[in-house]
Amino acid sequence: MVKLRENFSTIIVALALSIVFSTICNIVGYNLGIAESLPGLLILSAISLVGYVLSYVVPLKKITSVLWISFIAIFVASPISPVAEQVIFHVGNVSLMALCTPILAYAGVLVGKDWGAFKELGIKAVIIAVVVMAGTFLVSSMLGDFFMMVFN
Amino acid sequence: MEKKSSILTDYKLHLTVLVASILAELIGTKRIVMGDITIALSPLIWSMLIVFAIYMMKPLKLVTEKNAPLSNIMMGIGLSLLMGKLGVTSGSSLEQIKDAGLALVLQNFGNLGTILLALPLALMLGMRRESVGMGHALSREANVGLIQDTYGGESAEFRGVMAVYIVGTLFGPIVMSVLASVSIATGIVSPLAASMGVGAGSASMMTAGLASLIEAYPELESQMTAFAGLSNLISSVVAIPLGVFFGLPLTEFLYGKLSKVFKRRSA
Repeated sequence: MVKLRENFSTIIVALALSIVFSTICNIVGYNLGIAESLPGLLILSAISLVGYVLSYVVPLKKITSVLWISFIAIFVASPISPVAEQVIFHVGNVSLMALCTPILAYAGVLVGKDWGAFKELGIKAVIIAVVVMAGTFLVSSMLGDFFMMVFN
Repeated sequence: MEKKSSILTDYKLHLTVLVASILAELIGTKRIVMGDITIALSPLIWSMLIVFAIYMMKPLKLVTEKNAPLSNIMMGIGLSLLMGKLGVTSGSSLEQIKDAGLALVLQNFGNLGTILLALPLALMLGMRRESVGMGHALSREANVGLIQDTYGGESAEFRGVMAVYIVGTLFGPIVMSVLASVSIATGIVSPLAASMGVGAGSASMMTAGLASLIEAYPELESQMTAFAGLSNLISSVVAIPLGVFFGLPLTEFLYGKLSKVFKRRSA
């Protein structure tokens, strides 16, 4: 809880800034107005905030804020949620890309700072990435064949 | 309270990000076409490139190494909003998943399979902690969020996940369409299973992979499209829990075992 009190103001200010950035991206890139963008972004901020608070309050180390946020978001949009319709509608007005663009801009700073280390990864990273994709595709497909055989 | 002021006193960083994001959205998605191969550069790639370029113009001093910790915080918050968005999209489709059938749901555990291939390869190529971020899963947005949350944005693990994410974003669609064609042509997997497999990646990877499957088996188009879409959906729903409870623990376990072997060999 101490940690939460220390970080709470940081989280609020950072959330407010993120809302501004994503609203602007939503307007510039996807022709959606402020009035259309804000409700969805406020809902997402509320989900994130609850997730952060829960990750501090609940003493389970494995269940981090990302997992909480993911669970809460799935829950509020699921058929058992009384507000699902409104949540899905407003969040639907927030473009996925409008959320990604500022995130990757900040990532640009980190890539710049660690550029030496990134350069070292170079072509190896490309090879590994291809194997990661191939491995995921092949094993998932093979399991698909296997389970289709089992269940049919 | 000190931290609160420090977030906003870095106004140069935020302004740079804002301008870069606006420029990136104005540029929009550009496609580079080389014969059969198309590489799509979306705004997220542009915004990263613009800020990176500004960082590298060191005399400007607009963004410097000092901005890295705050960038990490801002990125974490942005990723939590993104995680919320992905979750809401998943939640709204739960009904469809219920009807998808057990084979489609269970097949997604195959997303873990890549760890057994990619992690040893990464270590063989001399990676250290980067290999954990690279090999723990096919790095989509959710996995970038997971690694940032677990290890922080200035860690080696994060460099690994970012590298694979960027390569995947640029070349993923090409790779997936080649993989899909080759695997059904050689008969390693059936076309229907392959359509489940292409769903493991991002939406653009899925679309590209599915296109080559449909080209080979036009008569199965509707069924394969449904399978790919559902598999894509299920893999995004389970991405975070699968990573937290299975993917990362398995990766860390294997890393612990394998890194000793590789260290001994290189010594």
